[in-house]
Amino acid sequence: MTSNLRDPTVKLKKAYEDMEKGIVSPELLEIKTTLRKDPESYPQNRYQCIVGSQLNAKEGDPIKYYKSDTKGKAHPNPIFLSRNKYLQMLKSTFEDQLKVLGYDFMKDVVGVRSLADI
Amino acid sequence: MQIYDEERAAKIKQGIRFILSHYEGRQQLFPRKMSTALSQGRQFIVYSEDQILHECEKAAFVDCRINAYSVSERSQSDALDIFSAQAPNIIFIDIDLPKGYESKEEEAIIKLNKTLKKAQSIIQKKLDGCKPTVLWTGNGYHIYIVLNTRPLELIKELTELSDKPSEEFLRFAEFTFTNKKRDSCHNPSFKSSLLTIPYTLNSKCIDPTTGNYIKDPEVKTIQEFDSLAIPTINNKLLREFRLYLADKDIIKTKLECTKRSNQINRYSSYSLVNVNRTIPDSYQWIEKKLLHTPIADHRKRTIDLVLAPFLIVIKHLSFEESYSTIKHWIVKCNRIEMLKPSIEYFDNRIKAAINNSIQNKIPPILQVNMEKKYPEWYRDLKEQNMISDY
Repeated sequence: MTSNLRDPTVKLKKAYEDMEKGIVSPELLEIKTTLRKDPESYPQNRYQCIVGSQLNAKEGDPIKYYKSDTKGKAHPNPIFLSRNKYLQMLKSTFEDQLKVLGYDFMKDVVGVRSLADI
Repeated sequence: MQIYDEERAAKIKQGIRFILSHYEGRQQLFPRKMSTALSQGRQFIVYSEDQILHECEKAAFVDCRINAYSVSERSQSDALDIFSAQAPNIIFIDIDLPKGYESKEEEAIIKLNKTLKKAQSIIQKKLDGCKPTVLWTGNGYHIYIVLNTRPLELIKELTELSDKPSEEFLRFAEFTFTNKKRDSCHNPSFKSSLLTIPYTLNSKCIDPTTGNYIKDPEVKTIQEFDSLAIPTINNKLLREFRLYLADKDIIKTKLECTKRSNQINRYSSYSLVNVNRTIPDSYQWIEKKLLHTPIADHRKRTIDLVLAPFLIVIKHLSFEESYSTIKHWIVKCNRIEMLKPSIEYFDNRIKAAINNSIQNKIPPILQVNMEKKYPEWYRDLKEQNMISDY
């Protein structure tokens, strides 16, 4: 138990596997931001324009969205969220920090292994 | 024939719930694809349980199937991408009655039941007592096995043998668990794993001439999977899978080698035929006309596809002899139209073309192919009376 508490990969591994299975609650994945201008004032392919228009938002309104593979790479509906994008985000956030602590993200979190390890 | 009724709708709602319970906790439920008789088997995306029921109602509950894997779970590209990899956590096995079984129906069903029993026993043995879902579809059995597994792309030895080991596992599982007696037309993949919804109706039970059902069309649940004892892919099965992939890899390599050697044999037959250095009629125009006539256009292509192969493969000249012959010809060509970009460039081009011919032993292009693939070149040569109709 103590060693688990000290091992930073335990929780990360669980988070990674939950995300891989698609069972993470969407509320935990939503990204909130506030529009600095009206959606139509943003370039057409920017997520602020696309998501803002879909939500009928205006300058100063808060919007919630999910990383997605759809146009603008964001969508207000969690059904369209991209599992791949969140997994990549997890990697880019923690890979270097884990390396400093002597862990390998792909091996210790993602679970890349050989048959001999099973 | 209108089959809709409230009672069936309620039963099918249960059936949808039951199918979705196979995915719960293992996959994102929606968006997911389904197909019905109305879509003529084409898959379309659904976003909720209610929408599935609605689509079933629209199709009068005929041929309603839900994909075993959700839309967003799969990589769109062919390249190996661990972050998009899908775990093979639903295995779909199809055991159908043979075609034309009607004349010996009783016998066919006895045989089919035997195959099912055997498959269940293999599954139980290989997957630590696993109890899968079994449906009677009106035309055979469907077996749905739920597995607790991660994507097989994570195992190095498997990715060395296959680009998509998880998807390959679906085929391996059906092949192994049915003792090779699966429906031969069924080639499982993530996209094609469509699970039939219990209590829906099978169009294969309809007489095409009268439109009436010739036997009970309802999809029936024979056995429900044990949600409390979901097996994993054990070490032994993984090793068997690795051997299966290795065998496939060897067969693939052998096929490629055979194909390559057939190609080489085909081309080298030209060389064997021409050991006595006689020139086939189809290439006489090169010897008699082309080599003595400079041309103003298409010279690079003429060197690559005609002169170098002709001198090496047909006339069996050495590198030096071939080079000097083509060089002599190209200098004459330069007099009527300057070579571009330079004579040096052509020097290298001649050498490369000769080396290519020595290596590949491909004979010169035939006139028929020249006309088909390079009509302009063919027309120009014809206009100069270099070639006549073949």
